[in-house]
Amino acid sequence: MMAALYSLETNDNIDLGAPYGDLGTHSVRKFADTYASNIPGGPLKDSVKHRAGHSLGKVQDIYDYLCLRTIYQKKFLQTEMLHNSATVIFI
Amino acid sequence: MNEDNVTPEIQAFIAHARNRTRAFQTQRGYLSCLRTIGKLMVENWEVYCIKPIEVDCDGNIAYYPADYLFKGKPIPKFVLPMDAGVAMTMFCHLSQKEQPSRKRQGNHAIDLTSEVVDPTNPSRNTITMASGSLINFISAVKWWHGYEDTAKGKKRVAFPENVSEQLRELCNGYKKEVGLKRKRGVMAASEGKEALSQAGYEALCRYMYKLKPTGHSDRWSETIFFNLFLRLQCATIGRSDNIGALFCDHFDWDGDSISVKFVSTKSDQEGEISRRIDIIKL
Repeated sequence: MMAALYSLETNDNIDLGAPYGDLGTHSVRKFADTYASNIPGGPLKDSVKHRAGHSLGKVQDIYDYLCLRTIYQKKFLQTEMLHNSATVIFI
Repeated sequence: MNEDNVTPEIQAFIAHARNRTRAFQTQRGYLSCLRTIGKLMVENWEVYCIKPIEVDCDGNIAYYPADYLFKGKPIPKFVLPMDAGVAMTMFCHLSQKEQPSRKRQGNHAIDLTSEVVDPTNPSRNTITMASGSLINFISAVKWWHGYEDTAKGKKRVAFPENVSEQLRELCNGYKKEVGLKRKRGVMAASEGKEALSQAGYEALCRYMYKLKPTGHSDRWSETIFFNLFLRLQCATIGRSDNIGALFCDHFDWDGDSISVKFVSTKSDQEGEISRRIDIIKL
């Protein structure tokens, strides 16, 4: 997997969200967590946390885009946030 | 029945039962921490003017046998229970030790090299270990006090209460120090791994389908494993070791979905909850 990430960053110039050195197998978990909790009208954050096995304390690794967009009054529906979901197999 | 009267076999049996409070991987991590502390102590024996490690009659440092718990890596015999002065000296120097940087560092707002070095805090402008690591080192020493292996001569010793309190204060101070260093740009702003972007995940999925065997190292089976691992981890939001530990009994059908059962996880090590997660393939 690390070889794949290295190849994607160096050969294909794809923005992986962080430098190659800061990624690992745990990044997929963090991605799924962040994605699921930031879909407008999506699952409740508590249920995402329960699915991920977090305690309902302070979890800092989920970036709250939804809250951010509410504060700045940006558009909620962005194509990259809702479409292309065929590769993700959430409920 | 007095515990000293029982046979060595039974004593070893009891010791093993007592040592089970920590998971195997945790014990291995703690031993690694102890080796690091031991190395630091041995290198700076005269500088610190303390004697944390036992010395044999020839003046050499005493080690537990090399096959102690894990082969080939001996551990020095610390003087137990640890003195408050020894413990504080040890952990203060550990918290000042420079660490190699693993993450991208922030831009320094000020020229750090021009500052006068404070002799009481020489590591002000250098990268030191994360506060979690220091807590881990302290936990390792606490665990080592309670660890018991009668066959190799390691006895169970109570950890002194006053030392515990002083180390807790040291930890709280160090956390704030690290926070300030992060703020000033000396250390990286965040710790641990970052989240993958959606574009990155999609690219990873596409890459997976294009994988071909090259020589003897990569096989078709690797593609299948990669596919399965990535999709299971994404769908269950699971930790990688939990995904690796799944087998047939943990999968079941539930209506139109596949259910996966995690027997024990990092946050639930006793397996009391044994979470069940359903996946629907779109």
